[in-house]
Amino acid sequence: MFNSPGELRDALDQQDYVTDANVATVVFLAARLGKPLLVEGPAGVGKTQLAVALAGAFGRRLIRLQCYDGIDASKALYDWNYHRQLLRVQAGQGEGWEQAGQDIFSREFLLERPLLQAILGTEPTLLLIDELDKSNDEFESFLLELLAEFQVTIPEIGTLKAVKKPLVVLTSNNSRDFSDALRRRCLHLFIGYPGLVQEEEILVRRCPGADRELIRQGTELVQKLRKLSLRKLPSIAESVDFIQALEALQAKRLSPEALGVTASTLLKYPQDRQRVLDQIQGLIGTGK
Amino acid sequence: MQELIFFARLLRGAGLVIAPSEISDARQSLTLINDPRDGPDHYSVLRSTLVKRSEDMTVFDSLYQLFFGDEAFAAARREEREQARGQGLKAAGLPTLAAAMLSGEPCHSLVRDAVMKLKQRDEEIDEQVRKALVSLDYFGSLNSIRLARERGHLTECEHRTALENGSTLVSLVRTEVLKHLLRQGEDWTRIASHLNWREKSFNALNSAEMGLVKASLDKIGKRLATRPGLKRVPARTERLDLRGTVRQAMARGGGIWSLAHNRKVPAKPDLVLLCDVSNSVYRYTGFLLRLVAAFRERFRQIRAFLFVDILWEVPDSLLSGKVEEALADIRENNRCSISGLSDFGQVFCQFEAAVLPELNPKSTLLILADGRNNWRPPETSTFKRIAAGLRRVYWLNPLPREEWGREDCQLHLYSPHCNGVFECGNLHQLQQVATRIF
Repeated sequence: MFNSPGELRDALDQQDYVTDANVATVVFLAARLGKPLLVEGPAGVGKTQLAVALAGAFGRRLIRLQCYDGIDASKALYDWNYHRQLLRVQAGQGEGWEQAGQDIFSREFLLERPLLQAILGTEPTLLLIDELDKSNDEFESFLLELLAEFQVTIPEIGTLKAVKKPLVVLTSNNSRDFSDALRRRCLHLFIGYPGLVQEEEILVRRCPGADRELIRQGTELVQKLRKLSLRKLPSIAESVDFIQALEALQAKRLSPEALGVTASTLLKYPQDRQRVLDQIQGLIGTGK
Repeated sequence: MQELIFFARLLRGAGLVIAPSEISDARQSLTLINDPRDGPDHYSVLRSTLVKRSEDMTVFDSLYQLFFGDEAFAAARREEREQARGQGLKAAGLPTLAAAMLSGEPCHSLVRDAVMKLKQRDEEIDEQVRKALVSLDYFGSLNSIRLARERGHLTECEHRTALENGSTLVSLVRTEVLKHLLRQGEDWTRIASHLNWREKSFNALNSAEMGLVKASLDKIGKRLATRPGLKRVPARTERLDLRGTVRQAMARGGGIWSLAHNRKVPAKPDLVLLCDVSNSVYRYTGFLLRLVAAFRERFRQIRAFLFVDILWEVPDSLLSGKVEEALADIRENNRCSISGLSDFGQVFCQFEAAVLPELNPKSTLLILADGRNNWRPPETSTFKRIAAGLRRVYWLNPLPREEWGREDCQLHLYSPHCNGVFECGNLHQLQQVATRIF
């Protein structure tokens, strides 16, 4: 366990996750208070990566649950192994009703999904519930018990409490609103696009072979693009791809020609690309 | 501790939902961090423990700055400012404030002077902010920036940077006005409630708050869209369908060969919207249409009609595009008005004759109107027949409840035939109504 946000920031830095003091403070508090951390922000700013880096920094096993429309308890927490139960019933023909009922609803017939793995795990774990906004209200309500008490209830077995409290990180692209009940149980962290200096440092770490001046120019361009009204703004992941593409093309400086051939790494919609290429001189020509 | 509780109460007054457990988290966290009030972590601690929605950050920032002072707020923002260093843009022959908006230079002293010159303390806060902006020549500067962009002196990026800095300047002016009022003995409760954009009438929202309301409506819409109904349909996985499994087994001689599953799906009703777009209700209609557009997949079919004194059907393409632009176009081209005054009786007669026969009797009709009929015949019997021909009729009224039935507001004549009549003048009320109806 870390003694200060500064120590945690250094540990994240060692995991190659460059962040600011605010993020380090909030994560530090979540770990010390034993509260789940709800991380919101645009796609591609490093929310999932934060959880991965935290697992590394805290030395915990990462258990990831990817949410999607229609996810439910049988995918996230547990399911009964019906086929095995049927086999058990058929194998035990002639057995009493109660005996068979007790047998087939035991841990042996339980399929452990990520949430249950995090609860029953004996080693320290970090549970990442990724893109929770993709799930529905029902699943969100289902999570409340886990987030507040670190326990889950399986009707046939009873309540299972966490053996070792996992560190829980929930991420969301903020596309759907969550209930107050869920938000109340978490500490909240909003990660926006990084500033110029931080993004430059991230790119230096992620593209160690790239020319420093090229990274500086690329970062400035990306910062300018984020001010435009584009359908999809470039995130950190895309700026890393952009610099790597320029590096692969052995570009030393950012030029309109280089941007022309690598624009698809930054901008994912043809209309966005066209819009940027139409004003390319204004974006990289003046050096403003 | 008393200070923290008071601050949390202020945030509640500004519309944030803060439970006692969150105040307790904040107190524990402050003890853990042990950072002084003007230390950089103090702000982060309070924000992460008391603010759980990103759209509340602006309100939190304003109240934090007012309550804990400029120095504490500046300390919290130091790293952010350092991150953005060297990003200011050079002015190109623009007036002083416009140049400052382009470069992002702080204009604290200019703003402070403009606010100090304000005299009338009794005026509404928004009016005081407007006057301070006028004396700063903010609107003139915006115009200069617009012209510079049109003439090609500014790139799109520069133009947007200037507008962004302009919004920051408006926030700065607002904060200075609030500080000025507090110095003059204004009550904290009034300051907090002024910042509560969720409970502000849609007609009183400033441009920044309108942005927040629109973003919130989109999110509420998405939430409503994913809310499952009671209907279940067969599915490959999800919940085990015992009845389905037994039924299959019976059909195959009693042996269980496969398991049946099902899942909940939202009900898909037909929705008919009937919205007043006269001057008093126009803005409310924009917000309602935006909300409905955000969760349109919840409905099998949506038909939207606008009216002032005649009925006009909104084409589907307009409803799925930019609602605000579509509404502006409809009003500019006078598509649903002859006299310019609302006439509910005439509109209901048109609706009964032309629209009702085409509708599915299971449809839900949602009316957004203030019920002010300009003393014209109400045609209550026609409305009664319309309500009888549809499954549900809900009426949303932006007027405060105490004004219903007063003067020319004839809602009391229509309400007995509705399944529900709701007050719906701000985001909070619209959210409650939408959650209840859908």
